[in-house]
Amino acid sequence: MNHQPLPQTFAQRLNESIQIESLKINRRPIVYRVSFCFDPQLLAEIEQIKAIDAKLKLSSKNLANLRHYALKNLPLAAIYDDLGRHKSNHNNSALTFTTQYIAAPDRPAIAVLRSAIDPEGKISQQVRQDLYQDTLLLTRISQAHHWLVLEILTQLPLKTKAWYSSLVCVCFFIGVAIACSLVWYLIPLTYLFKIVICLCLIMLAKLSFKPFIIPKLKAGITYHLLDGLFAKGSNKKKIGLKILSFLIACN
Amino acid sequence: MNHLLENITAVEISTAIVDEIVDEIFIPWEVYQAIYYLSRSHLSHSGVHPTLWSRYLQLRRQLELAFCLLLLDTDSSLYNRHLVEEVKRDLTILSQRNGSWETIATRLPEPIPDRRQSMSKVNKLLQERQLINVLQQLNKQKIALDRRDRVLQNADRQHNIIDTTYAQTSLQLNGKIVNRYSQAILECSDRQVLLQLHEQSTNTGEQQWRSLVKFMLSVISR
Repeated sequence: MNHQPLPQTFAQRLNESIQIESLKINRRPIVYRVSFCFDPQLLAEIEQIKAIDAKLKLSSKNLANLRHYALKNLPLAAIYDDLGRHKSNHNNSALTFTTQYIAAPDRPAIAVLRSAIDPEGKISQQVRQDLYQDTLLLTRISQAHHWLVLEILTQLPLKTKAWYSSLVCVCFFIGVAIACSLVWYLIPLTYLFKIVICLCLIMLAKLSFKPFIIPKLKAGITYHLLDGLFAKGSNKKKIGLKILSFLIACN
Repeated sequence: MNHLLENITAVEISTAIVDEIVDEIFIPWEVYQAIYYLSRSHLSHSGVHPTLWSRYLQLRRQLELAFCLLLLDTDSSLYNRHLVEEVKRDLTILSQRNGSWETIATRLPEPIPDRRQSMSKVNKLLQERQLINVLQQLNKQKIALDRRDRVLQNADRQHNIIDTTYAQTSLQLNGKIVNRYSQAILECSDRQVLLQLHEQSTNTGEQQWRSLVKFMLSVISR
């Protein structure tokens, strides 16, 4: 099925309506929900977009922040076990999406619909009483809400390209070549020993690359995305997630 | 990851109409404090509906039980070999759902902010992932109980669908689909709207969850 791209202004307005809200607990920002702020105009625009079966393209900033939020709530204990870091401060809980509605410009935004999606398969929907009493508006808002949540979630999986794995392999073998050159020029041994050591190094690297080195690197990058170098700032998150997709391509 | 997927036997979608949408932010220390102080006198003093007392007290028992299991776990930083025998004795009592566990002295550290020693014990306890997972589950149960209590306190709302899950659909991996509805929905004049709303939640909820699983697989697959 061919999906039409959204006009730039629609996409921008929709992206702007997506807010990732956090609060500071023990001086650490904790994201607690993704909220959408709809008004009658945006609601009508979403209906038009749905009617022509167009797809929303999330901005790179939103995509990085949303992936990071989802990553923070995944049960990643297995990866932490690899690193021996059991005491991470992240919690695996439900991803929460809340729709707020502004009925008129002079009225406040009111949370009217909420979806909490638990990775373990529990999904709960809450609808505010006032909204449920207005059947037409309820249908319009709930359809727009579910469409937007689905648009976000379908874009979350990390994308890889065929050349990613080749690039990682090239980088890895450059690293091995450097190690071999160091052995060759710095270790005072006979040529025969140097050749044996280099061959052992190459063999060891080849054998351990996929089963050992890649999983460790993935676990390390994931750890830094959650709590370390790549945990703060959209740009750092983008870099961390990009490195992760390069490593995933090697699976 | 495999362990997580093995534990998933169904996708469960529930829909509720609420008075107000309140964010459920999980703050381990606050949840620990709220559950630690649950007792008959506390429930009586707070005016909690008496029919819910035993369910609230079960939360407190489960917290005590989780802590005792940590004391026996050699991998836990709280493991104490000097207490093993004593804790094992308590464990048999704590495993029972009857009220006998209320007679044993608590081993949980008291969450009082002005007592530095006690607070550092609580902080150490809250570093334990196993305990955090238990607290998260207990918190969900407590939120549901608090909501039920509000309904019971208000006699007019007992036959109302507000603040209760009115419909739940379980899509099981063995192919069974189980629907559960609140009895109150039968008396609702606009039950058709409510059922449509739940149906929409079910259809999209399942797709949303599938996309989330795809993301998980994209990150964790080895």
